[in-house]
Amino acid sequence: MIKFIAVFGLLVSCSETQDIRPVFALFHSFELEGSEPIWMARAKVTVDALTHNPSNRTASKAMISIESNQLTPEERRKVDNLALSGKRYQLKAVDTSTGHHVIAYTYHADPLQQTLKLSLDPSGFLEGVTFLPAGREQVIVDIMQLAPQPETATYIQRMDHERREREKTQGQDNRNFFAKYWMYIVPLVIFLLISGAGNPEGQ
Amino acid sequence: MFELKILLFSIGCLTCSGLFEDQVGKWDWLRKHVGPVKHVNFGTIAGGNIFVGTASNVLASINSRSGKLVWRKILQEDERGVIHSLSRRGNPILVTGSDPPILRSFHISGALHWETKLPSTPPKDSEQEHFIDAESMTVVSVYTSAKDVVVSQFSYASQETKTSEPISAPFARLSKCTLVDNSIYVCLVDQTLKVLALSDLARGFISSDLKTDASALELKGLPEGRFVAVRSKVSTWLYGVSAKGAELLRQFDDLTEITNFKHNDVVYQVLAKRSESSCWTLSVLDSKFSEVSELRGEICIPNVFSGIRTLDVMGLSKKDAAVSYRAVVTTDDAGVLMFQKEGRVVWSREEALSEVTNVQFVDLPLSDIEAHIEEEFTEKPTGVLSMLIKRIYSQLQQLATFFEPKNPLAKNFGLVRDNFGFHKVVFMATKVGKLFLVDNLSGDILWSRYLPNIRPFSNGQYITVTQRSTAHIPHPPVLSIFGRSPSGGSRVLALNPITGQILDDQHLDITITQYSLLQPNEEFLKGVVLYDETTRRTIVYPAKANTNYKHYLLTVGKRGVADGFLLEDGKIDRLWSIHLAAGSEVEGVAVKGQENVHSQGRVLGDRSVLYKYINPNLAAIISRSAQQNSVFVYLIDVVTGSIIYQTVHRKAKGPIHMVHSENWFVYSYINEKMRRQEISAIDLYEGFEQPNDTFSSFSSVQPQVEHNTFILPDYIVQLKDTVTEKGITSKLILAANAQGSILEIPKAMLDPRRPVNPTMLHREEGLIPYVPEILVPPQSILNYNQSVARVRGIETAPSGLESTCLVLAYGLDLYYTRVAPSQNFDILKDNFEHYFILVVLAALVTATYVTRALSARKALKAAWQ
Amino acid sequence: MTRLPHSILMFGVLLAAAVTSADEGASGDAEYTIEGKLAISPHQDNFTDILEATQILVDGGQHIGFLKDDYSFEIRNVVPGSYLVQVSHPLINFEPVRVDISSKGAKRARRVNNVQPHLNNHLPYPLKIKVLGLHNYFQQRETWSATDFIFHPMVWTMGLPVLLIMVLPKMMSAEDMAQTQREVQQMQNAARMPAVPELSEMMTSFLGQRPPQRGGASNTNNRNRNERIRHD
Repeated sequence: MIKFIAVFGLLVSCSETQDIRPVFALFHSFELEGSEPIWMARAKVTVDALTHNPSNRTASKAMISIESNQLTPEERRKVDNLALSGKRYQLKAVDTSTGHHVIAYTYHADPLQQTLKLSLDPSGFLEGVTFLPAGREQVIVDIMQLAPQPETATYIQRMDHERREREKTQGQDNRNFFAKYWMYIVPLVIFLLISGAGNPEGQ
Repeated sequence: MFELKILLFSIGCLTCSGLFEDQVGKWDWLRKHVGPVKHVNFGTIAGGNIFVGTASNVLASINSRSGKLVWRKILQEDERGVIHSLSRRGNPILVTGSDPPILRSFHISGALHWETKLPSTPPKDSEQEHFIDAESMTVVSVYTSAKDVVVSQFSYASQETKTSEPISAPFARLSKCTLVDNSIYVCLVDQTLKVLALSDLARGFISSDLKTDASALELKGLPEGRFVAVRSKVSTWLYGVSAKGAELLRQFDDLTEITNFKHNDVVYQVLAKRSESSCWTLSVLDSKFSEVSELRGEICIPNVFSGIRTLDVMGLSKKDAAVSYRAVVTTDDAGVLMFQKEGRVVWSREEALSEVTNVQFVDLPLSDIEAHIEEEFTEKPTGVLSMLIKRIYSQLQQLATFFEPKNPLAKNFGLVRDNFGFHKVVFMATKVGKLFLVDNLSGDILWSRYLPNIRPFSNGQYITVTQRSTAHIPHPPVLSIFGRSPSGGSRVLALNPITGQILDDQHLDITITQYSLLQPNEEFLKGVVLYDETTRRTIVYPAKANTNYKHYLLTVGKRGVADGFLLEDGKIDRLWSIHLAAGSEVEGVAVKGQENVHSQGRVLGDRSVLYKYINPNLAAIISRSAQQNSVFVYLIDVVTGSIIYQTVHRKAKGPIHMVHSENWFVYSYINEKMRRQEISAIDLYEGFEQPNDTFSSFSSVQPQVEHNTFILPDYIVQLKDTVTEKGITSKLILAANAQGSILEIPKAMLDPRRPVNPTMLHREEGLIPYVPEILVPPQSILNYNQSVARVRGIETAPSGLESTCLVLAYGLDLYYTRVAPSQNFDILKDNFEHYFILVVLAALVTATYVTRALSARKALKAAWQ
Repeated sequence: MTRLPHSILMFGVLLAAAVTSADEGASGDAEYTIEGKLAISPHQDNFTDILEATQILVDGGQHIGFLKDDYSFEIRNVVPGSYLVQVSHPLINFEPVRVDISSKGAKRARRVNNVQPHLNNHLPYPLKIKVLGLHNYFQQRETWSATDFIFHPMVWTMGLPVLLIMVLPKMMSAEDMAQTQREVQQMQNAARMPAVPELSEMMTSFLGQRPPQRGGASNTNNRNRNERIRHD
């Protein structure tokens, strides 16, 4: 009943080299006992390697292996009925190293097809699980990455560069008087010429 | 480097809205406070300044004739600034802090005279008390531990210390002890007085039995001479203490307070008895304990203050060398008053306003005439003719009231909305339990009310909820304040904020953790659903309110677990659960307020639109791990529990301040490695396709996140954004710094998309090139030279105009002003020269007519030639 | 409210880094004192409230110091580390200083640079830091003065001809006026460019024969009229 699926998961980001191989157990619930959900094992996710790729912050390939349990037809029917009866499908992810769990839910019509995103902190500690629309992968791991620092290096370089350039070219406004004020002198001259032409002509 | 500063200055001034010097004081005001007074020093000369030490760790000099603040010294807010003792006369000398205690002496002008550390080291696990005597220039420090007492005398004139051996006193910690005359230490243990003379420490404590078996006895050391008073409910016994023990001098009955003062080397005892509800009669006994009839006085507290808490009396000589006195009284609601012997209030100060915890801007109601006009929009349409008649009638009424003389004594005169919506009233709740309504234009207190049985919750704040606004005449506006009840549970007080009238006062059996507003009922009253985290219960207030609701609740526990619940019609259901980073503790949660976002996206340089991700269910959580020295930031959708974005800052620490609004989140923290304040901005965008009109957390996409960090060369104490009615005006982030200035930072400066190397497209969009440091020029300091000490919060409210936002900063001081982030684009500038234009127009018109006449005359003359 | 003076006063902050004897704090770390002085000479003290209203803030209020009569200050109980010392006054802008205290008690002061915090821009010992003057909180109102009008080039280009046109006729007598008028009319006639053929003439000549006569007739009419005027 256990099918072994080895899947290449897309690692959204990675910040530090990890030597740990976190293992998460996924449980789901589609029926309630009173008000408490009944948890059934759904899958076991092992994150085999989180590699550090400093140049490309966005993607690193890593191995995620999933062992998932097959659902019986009756369980399958119960899942399909959830959406019809307006109840929610709940998922619990347990971090097997510490034992703590996180819970998520969805009202989607086909919850087993949705992609799961496991959010981890930089040390591989499980923080939360999210349902995403169905995609290529079944499970995505998102590790918290470092926030951007104020970029002082490029700024300092640019300032030094500009300062050196400015020291080289010391431009002054030392064009001569005509160059600065030709806009005003030329119309004046034209006016004088016209009036001068008019006057002698008239006489 | 300087040219760079000029360049940055001009960039920063792109939207700078600096004041002009002649606008100072036109629409802003500052109220300075000192805090609830604990110690009083009557100064050197009668009629000069008095000095007070307050519970807010402030030493202040107050003019004894007017009550105005002359100068103040603000010490650290934590226990290093706590004032233990203040000298009673002369220059203010005070002992502050405890690790180690520092002794400072100030001149009466405010300059520091000298400062020194108390040389005695406290023994382990001891409580400290310090007493100063200015005449003998000694400081006595008493350290009480579980078993013994160590007394250390430090003479600051000679810089000599004398520390005693531990003196066995197992009772010292459990009972009330006090030091009188800086030389006798007295403790009240059961029915005995134990007296220790500092001049003869070897003798130890001498016991004297009190000849009474009354219970619930209290000990009070009197400020002058070697007297202590032992008080029970009914009687007061006055004892003289000395190296030989305690000796009963007199017994008085039915006294409310006893104190004394020294004048011309004679110690006068002052006995206070309550006469009427808020009055005390003072009788004064001389050194032989016979009453001096000329010094009999009566002090009555004005209605705005509550009962008297402490009484300090200072003697003075009047012109004819007769003895008189002045009394400084502190009240239960943190007021300070000075009385003359005759009972006249010389001045009073309302110091509860130094501890404001909640601020709410309340709109004023429309005037009756305007309300009548507005009624036509709410009533059913009754035909065009009747509406016309009604309108004409209202306008005739308006004309009539315009010519009528106004009656300034009418209740709530002037409390109507003005044209631009600038005139509002501010409701403030303070830590001591006093509520105020302040007029925002003048800063005057319109009404105040002291509530002895409601206190802030454990987070230091009340919950104030506007259940009904002033827009629904004839129903009165309702503002409810929820607080902790000192006897357990919570208390709610519903009142009309404009008049101060109490509409409801109830005790609720839960400890309120969170609240949410419900839909209004047919009387436009919104109920409130209250949630108690400890018992996981909800109740609805008022009980008969609309009970069909569906709310999503986020709780973040101390161990870093965040849970989401669904509250539906009284049922609580846990939906999701997440864990914050291992080892971290939550520092703060920020959700968005109710505001309008005007534009759906940003127009980029190539005229494509980048749509904003506006998720009303988004909560920002910041947690901190002290061991890993990191700050973790999460953006979480409260409905589904999905972590939209998470990131970490290494080597960062608090204090952390946050602003969450529209589609962005801005937060500040201190970078420990680089030792600077950094401010980080996160913007969320959906992408280039237009999203659906209604947002749903279940079907939304993962947003595109833009994140960048900047340096701010200052220490941020508080952050808040401005808000306007329609959201068209650009936003300013107001940052209060440690020096008391409020910086205006335009949101465009805190844009994570600011490019490091700007291209043509970026310039087309209008993005400011990225510079790591945000320099705020002095013109962008909102409160110019009116520094606000210890800003605890900034409250912003929209005004009637779209361009203007009203701002109130509160802390130790109160400062109100208005700010126009995009300059006042919708009104004329305030120095618009109406008269000049009129004059010029008139001149031009007359010139036109004159020249027309002249030219007509000339043409006529020419025609006649 | 105090009015800002019109001159910018020069202030300097003198910071003396002195090693005082280390005191043991409760936590066991040695504690040191930061000492400094404002370089204000008594006759420069145009502000009466410097001693009252100035506060020395270390690290945003972690430690607080006050000024003595001689404008010096001390901040005690400071454990080794790096601190930002700001002198805060509502009207005067003092330059902030970064003070580093090493674990052995050696103190040094350097200029504050947040972009490059490890730059060692030492402030010499005893230090004199450059002044920053007064806080310039207010924008200046745009004022206009008469000189703006008189010296503006546009005024000369446009205003002067208008004046000439208005003033000259007054200065001339009536005959001169008439003569000038005639001259102006002549100039206008001359200025009318005869070389450019009238469009209507062109079109009619192109289309038919009759118009040239009419045009000629009108031309001769005009010419006769002009001659008549000239003989007046």
